[in-house]
Amino acid sequence: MAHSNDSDRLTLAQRLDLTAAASLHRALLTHTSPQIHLDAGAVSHLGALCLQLLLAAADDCRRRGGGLTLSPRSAAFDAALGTFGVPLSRLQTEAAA
Amino acid sequence: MTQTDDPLAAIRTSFFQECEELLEQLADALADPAFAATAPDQVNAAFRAVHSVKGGAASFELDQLSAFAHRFENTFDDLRAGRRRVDPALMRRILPAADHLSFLIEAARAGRTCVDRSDLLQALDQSENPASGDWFIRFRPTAALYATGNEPLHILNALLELGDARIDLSTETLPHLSDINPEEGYLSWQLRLPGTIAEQALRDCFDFVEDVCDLQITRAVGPALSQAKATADARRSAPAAGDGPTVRIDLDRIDRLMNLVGELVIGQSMLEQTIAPALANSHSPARTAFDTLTSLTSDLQDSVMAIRAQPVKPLFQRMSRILRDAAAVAGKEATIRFLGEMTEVDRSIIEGLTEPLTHMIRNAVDHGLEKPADRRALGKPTCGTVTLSAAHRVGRVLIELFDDGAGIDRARVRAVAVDRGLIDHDQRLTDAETDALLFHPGFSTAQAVTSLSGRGVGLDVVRAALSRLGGRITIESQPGQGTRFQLSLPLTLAVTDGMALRSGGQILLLPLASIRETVRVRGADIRRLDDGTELMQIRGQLVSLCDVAAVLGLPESTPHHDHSVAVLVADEDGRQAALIVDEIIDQRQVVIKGLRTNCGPVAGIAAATILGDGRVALILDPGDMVRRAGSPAVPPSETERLAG
Amino acid sequence: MTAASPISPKSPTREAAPEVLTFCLAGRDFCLPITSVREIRSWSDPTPLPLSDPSLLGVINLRGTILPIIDLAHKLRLSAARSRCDVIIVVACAGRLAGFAVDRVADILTFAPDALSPPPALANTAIAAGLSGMILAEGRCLPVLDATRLMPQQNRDRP
Repeated sequence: MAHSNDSDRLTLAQRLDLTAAASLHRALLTHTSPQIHLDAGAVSHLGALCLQLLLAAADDCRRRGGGLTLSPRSAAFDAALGTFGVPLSRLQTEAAA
Repeated sequence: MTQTDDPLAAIRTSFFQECEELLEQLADALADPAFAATAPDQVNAAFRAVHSVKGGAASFELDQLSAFAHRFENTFDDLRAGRRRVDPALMRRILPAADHLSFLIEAARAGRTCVDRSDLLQALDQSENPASGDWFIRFRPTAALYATGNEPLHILNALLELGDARIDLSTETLPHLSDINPEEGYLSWQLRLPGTIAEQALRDCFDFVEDVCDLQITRAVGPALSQAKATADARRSAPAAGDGPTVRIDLDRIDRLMNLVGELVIGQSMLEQTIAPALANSHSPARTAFDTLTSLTSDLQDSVMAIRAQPVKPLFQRMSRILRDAAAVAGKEATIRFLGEMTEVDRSIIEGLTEPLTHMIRNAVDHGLEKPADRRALGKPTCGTVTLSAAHRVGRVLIELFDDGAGIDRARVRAVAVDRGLIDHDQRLTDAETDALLFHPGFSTAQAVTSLSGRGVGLDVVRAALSRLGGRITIESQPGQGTRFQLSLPLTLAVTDGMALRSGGQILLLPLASIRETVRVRGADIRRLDDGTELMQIRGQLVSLCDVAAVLGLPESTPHHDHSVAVLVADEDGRQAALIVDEIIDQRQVVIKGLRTNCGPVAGIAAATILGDGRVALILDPGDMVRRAGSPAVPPSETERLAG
Repeated sequence: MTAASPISPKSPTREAAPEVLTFCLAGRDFCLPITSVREIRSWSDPTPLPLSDPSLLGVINLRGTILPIIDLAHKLRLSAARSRCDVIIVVACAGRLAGFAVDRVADILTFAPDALSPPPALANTAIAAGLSGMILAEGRCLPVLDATRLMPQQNRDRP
């Protein structure tokens, strides 16, 4: 999993499945800034376990007055959000966009 | 509700009359097979009919009716505009809505409001959820689902391939990021999918994960479900209109099936007699098995009867047209109202009812309902109402025809009866006896000869036709309030209620519908005329005697009538005779078997049936017996010579 | 119900070799084309029909069908008294069914078409009326009955 060193920026792995969940969880927890920018441009698979981490992270950021931004996003990522019934606004906060 | 001097009332009345025509046009358009193919003519006709109802309703401020018609009309507008097409699912929703439209009109006419059925309209609007309620799925993966390498994304994608789904994610149980166990599942989904999808197809999507997730698959509640219930209700009252695939069956095949079931019943009672000792103990296995067989046979019989059964609605609708024509000719205003029109009756009965009901409707318009001016003077609505209702009552079907007209003019009936020599001028009659004179052959109280009456067609014809169907008719009238005819009919012509008699060593059956009463014969009551005719005094009336065994040339006829039983029967024209038999055995339902095809006509006999022991018993023809009563019996020896 | 021995209606009926059912009636042999025979049943007592032709013994229940039973010996005027019969031959023709009461059923014979000759003039007009031909073969002379002519009459209205 290749993370950017930039403190508020995180590049998501290509396959966000069961095996990626633990490391994504750790990565998200290390970001203490209320504003997190995620690069989902390379995501080819977004599984439900990683989705729930992103949802929790978005809530976390909001609680701290910030939010998530997702850019760029791969088609696969958007398609998965659609399938899961997750509107982008659920993850990405207006103020933060 | 009607102000007699209100000009609006007249317009209102004509609006409701027009509504009836519009409903018929709507029904015709919907019934046309072309409508199912979204043919423009039929769709337009349906649209215009509903549109006209809406327009009229709005101008009379019948808000409930106009609102319903407005939304109902939209459906046809969409069809006209090609935004939708007719499919079986839509047809199934249009028909109840059309029915409700007629209920609303009826309610508006009576100044009532009707139950709100906007669910019918909602169902129409939801073209994507046809036959039944949408599927409603709750899906909550557990950690085990993820641990076994399964992925909700794939499951959800598979469901999406089945049809348009609405997916809602629930994150209610999602903890804070720091508290999350990354391998635990916290998310759950709620999905709504079209009800047309087979449940198995849905379940297949959850193959291998059903035990590692919380899963509920149900039919969704809401408008779609109430539609499903409405369909189920409609099906209960009208199997033919139910959903699901249907087949057309040759009537002969059903009749054959019905015959076989009849055989089964007979075979069963033969078996019962044969193994009677084994059945004596009510706890024996044989008894239990036999009882099961009996109940299955009876269910089977009911099911076969149900195949032949049809709702009386089309018959009633035909009467609506007859009423309109009759009213137009008679210069009267009349409207018809149906109750229980989904009641099912064997088709043979329905066919046989058309003629008598037509007579009765004409009779109600002609003799029952008053002229509009007279009604106004009486403070009645100018438009008379004829109510036609049908219901099942203890194994028979009861049809009632009620008109809110003047009731029977008993003084006039009496005068006519005296005039025609039907009764003596000083004969005292109860109201019921007077009313019964209407059924006397040739009786007609029509004051004016119109194209409807004056044909010498009276209620006797009605009674004769009903009697052929094994039916009975009774009349009940309140002066100034109206007249009520009650018709009681068997559910089918294949089975009849009969009285089993013994005469000349044979068991004979007499249709119950023809029997007036039974009396014990005392020699003193019998008068013998010079020509050998015997008469018997029953309740002050002299009735010709008919010794069944002698008249039919049965071998063991008893010469003395003393201690035998007389059964007073009436033929279709009300002519009576007292049939002398040795004994009355019981009353029973029998399956009617035709004789004519194989045996040709048989004197005094209408048909045959098969007894419990497998032997054939003959069913007497009451009409023929009455004709034979009084005429001296032909001795068997002479018959033989004639036949040789 | 008594045992019945049905004869398959699909018995081969090749033009070349017609088959007949032979039976015994008042001591004489007759036969019926097998195509008109439905089945053979043992005797059951018929329910007499009122004021009917005396050769019509009555009706029995044939699995739900009301079957008229004809005293063939009486009909053909072979015996004055009603004969005591043991067997009923159920015949079908022109959509109607009837049972012929006979003494006993003998055999099924196949004969060459040229063995059939037209009915001769007979003194017994009753037999002549019910006859469709004679089979002359192997030294035998076998009257062939026509079931249609022996059925109860259809449009007879008796007093």
